[in-house]
Amino acid sequence: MSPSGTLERIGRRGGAVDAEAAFEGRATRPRPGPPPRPSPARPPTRPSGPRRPTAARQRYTFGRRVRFLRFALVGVLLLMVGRLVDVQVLRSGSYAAQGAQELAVRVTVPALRGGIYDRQGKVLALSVPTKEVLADDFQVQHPATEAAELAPLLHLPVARLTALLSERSGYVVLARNLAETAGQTVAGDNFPGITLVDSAVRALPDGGLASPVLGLVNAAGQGAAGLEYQYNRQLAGVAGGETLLESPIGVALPGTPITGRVAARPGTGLELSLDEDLQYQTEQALAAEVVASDAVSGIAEIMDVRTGQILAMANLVNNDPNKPGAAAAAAASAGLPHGNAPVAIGPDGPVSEASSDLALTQLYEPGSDFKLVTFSAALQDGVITPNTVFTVPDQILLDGSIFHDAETHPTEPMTATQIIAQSSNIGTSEIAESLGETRLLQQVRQLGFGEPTGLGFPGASPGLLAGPSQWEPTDYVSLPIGQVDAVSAQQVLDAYNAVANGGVFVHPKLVDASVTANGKVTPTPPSASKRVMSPAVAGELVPMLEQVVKVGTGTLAVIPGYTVAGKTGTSNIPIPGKDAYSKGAYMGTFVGFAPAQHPVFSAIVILDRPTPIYGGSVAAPVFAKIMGDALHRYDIPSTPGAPTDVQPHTSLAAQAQDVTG
Amino acid sequence: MSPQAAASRPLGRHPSRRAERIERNEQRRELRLVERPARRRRRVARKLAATLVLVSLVTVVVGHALLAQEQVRLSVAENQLTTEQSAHRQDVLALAQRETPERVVSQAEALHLVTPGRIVQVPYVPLDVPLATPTVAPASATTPTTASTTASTPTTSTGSSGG
Repeated sequence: MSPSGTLERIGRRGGAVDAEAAFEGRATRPRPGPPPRPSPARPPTRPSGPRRPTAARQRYTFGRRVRFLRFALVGVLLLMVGRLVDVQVLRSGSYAAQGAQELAVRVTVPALRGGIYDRQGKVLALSVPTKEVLADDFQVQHPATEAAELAPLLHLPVARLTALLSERSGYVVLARNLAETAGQTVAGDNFPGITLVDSAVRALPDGGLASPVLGLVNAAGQGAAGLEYQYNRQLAGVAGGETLLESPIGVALPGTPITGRVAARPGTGLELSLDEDLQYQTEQALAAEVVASDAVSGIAEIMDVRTGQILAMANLVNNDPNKPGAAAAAAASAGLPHGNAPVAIGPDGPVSEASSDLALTQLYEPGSDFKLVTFSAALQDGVITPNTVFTVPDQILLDGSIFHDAETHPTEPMTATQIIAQSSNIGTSEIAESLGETRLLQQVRQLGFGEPTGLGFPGASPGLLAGPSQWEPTDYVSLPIGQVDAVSAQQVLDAYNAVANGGVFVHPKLVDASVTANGKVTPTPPSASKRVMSPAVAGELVPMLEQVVKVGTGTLAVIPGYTVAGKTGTSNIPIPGKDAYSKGAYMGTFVGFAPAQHPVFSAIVILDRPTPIYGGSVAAPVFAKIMGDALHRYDIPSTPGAPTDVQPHTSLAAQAQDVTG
Repeated sequence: MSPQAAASRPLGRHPSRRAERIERNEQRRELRLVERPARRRRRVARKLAATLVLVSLVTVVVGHALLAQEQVRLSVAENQLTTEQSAHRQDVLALAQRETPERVVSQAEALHLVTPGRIVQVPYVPLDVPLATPTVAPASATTPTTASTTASTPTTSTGSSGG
C-alpha cells in the first residue's frame, strides 16, 4: 500500500492533510494554505479496483489478528495446562505406575521345600538354602582380576572363572548351590556384574536309600516322582516375591528400595512310616540276594500288621542282569563277598535303586501266593476245613490243557493243610472247583486285588483281573494258582496281612504325619480297615500257613525263636502281548507274617528271574533275615516253644514244590 | 490538647474540675491501643497452627528417619535369621549324614565289629509263672540241714532257711 493514494483521498476532501498524522491515525484538520494548484494531468497511477483498506480498517485488522493470536496462544497454553493437569494430577498415578513398571522387576523368592523324615524323625530328604552366583559379563571390566578374587570364594579355578567372565553373553552361571555363608561373603564384596539368586538343594543324607519311594525333585525344585511328586503341593510351600527396580539392561538401581515383599511360606514336611535302619537292613538283605541269585530285580517290604504302616520298602535292580554272575563278580571285585559285608547299592555297585517303586507299580502273576484266595473263600463258606481230605493226582487234563504239580507224585489223599503246605496246584484246583467261578472272583475282589491300595502313589496300578465275561474252564486251575490275574506286591502283602490281622483288611500307609516348618507334627488319620473274613477263618488259616514254613515249601523262612506263617510262590512270567510264558523265567516270592500266633509284622520278598528259581530258596531266606531284624529291632517277644537255634539249610525237596507253571 | 497547654492556662474558676481534667488526662496517657480480641485470637491461632505444622513436619521427618533406621535393623536381622536358619539346616543335614546306617556300619567295621552270622534266641521264659527254685546241694554232714526244696513246686519257693 502506498501512502500516496491516502494523501490523495484526504486532499480531495478538504485540502492538505498531514500525511504523517494521517498515517499514524491521528485526527487532523485541513490546514489553510495557498489554493490548490491545478494538478498536472497525470496518468492514473493504478486502475480503478477494490478500494484499499483504510488506516482504521488496518488498525482493526491488525488488532483483530493480535487478539486472535493471543486467544490462540492462550488456547494452546490452556490445552497444555489441561494436559499437564491430566498428566500430573488426574492420571498421575497411572503414569507413575507405568513408569515404575518399566523399571520394576518382580523377583520370586523360592519357598524352602519341606523335609521328609522317617518314623523316628531321622532325615531322609532335606532342602538346604543355597545361592546361585550369576554374572553379567558385559559389566565385568576386568575379568582376570575379578576371577582371581572370586575363585577362592566359589572354589573354582581362576582360569575357568576368567573364561566364564569373558564369554560376552550377558548371563553366565558361575556357581550353583553355593552355601549361604559363602554366598553372603560374595554378596558383601560387591563384585561388579555379579548377582546372587536364592536357590535350594535337595539333599539326601542316606544317598539313594528308599529313593524309589521318596521319588525325586527336578531342576526346578518340583517333585517329579514318588512321594515328592504325590505330595508336591504340600512339600513345595508357597513362593514369595519382592519387587526391585532395575535398569532396562537388568542392572539393579542402587539405593532403590525393595517393595512389595511377600515372604515365602516354607513347605510342610512328611513323616513317613519307614524306619531308616530297617530300610537299610532290608535293602542290604535284598541286595545280597539279588547279587547271589543274579535276579533282574528284587522287592522287599515290611508292614505293621495292625496299622498297615510300611516300615521298609526296598526296590532294587541288578546293574547287569544280562551277564550271569556279573553282579556277584562285581560285588566280589569290590571286596563285598556275599554274606555279612554290606553291598554297595548304586550305579557303581552291583545293584541300584529302582527308578520307580516296583512294589506298587510293577504287576506280576502271583503264582502260588494266590492260593490264599481259594483257601480263605473255601474256609469262609465251609467248603473245607483244615483237615478235609482230597484225593490229589499229580496232573489233570482240563479243556485240552495239562496241569500238574511241581513234582510228580502218585495220586494220594491230602488234607487241605497239606495241599497248601506242599503248594499242590491240583489239590487247590479241586477246592476251587467246589467253590465256583462267581465265589472265586468275589473273593479276589474281597481281598483287595483289582482295587487301588489307597496309598495314592504315582503310577501305582490296581492290577489286572479277569472278569466273569473272560472266564474259561481252565481258570478253575489257573486262577487259584495265580496265573490269570496280574497284581502288585503290595496287594499280595495286604491280603496276607488281613489274615495276620484276624481277618481285618487294613489299607497300607506310608505317611504318618505332616511336619510344619516350626516342627509341629500333625498325625494323619489311621488307615481305613474292613473285615474280609471271619476271625475264625483267619485263625484256621494261620496254622495252615505255619505248616508251609514248618514242613512245606518255605522252611528257609524260619526265624529262630519265632513262629512264622507264610507262603512261597514261584510263578511264570508272561511274554508281553502273547498268550505264552517266557521259558525259564520265574518270579520267586515269599509272603508271610510273624510271630504266627500273635502277628506283629507281615512281609513280602519278590525276586525277578532268580537262580535258583524257587521262592522257597531265594525269597524265603531274605524274608527270614528282614523279619528277624524287624522283630529284634522292635523287641518283639519270642514265641514260646519255637525252635531257638535253627541251622540254615537248603531243602531241595522244598524248593521244587511251589512252581505254578 | 497537650498536657503542657492545659497547664499553661490560667487557673480557672473551677479548680476541682481542672484537677479532674488533669487527672483524666493523666489517665488517658495511660491508655494504650489494644487489639480486638478476635484478631488476637486469630493471630494466636495462626501462630499455633504454624507451630503445629512445624512440629508435625519435624515429627514426620524424625519418625521417617527412625522408621528407616528400624527397617535397616529389621533387614539386618532378617539376613541374620536367614543365615542362621541356613546354618541350622546345614547342621541338621550334617548330623543326618553322620548317623546314616551306612556310616554307622562302616564305622563299626573300622572298629572290627562284625554282624553276627546268626542270632541264637534265648529260650522263652514266661514271666507270669514264678521261676522254679533251684535245687540246693545238701550241706556237709557235720552241718545240720534244716530244709530243702523241690524244684518242681513253685509253691515251696519259700526256700530253705538253712545256712
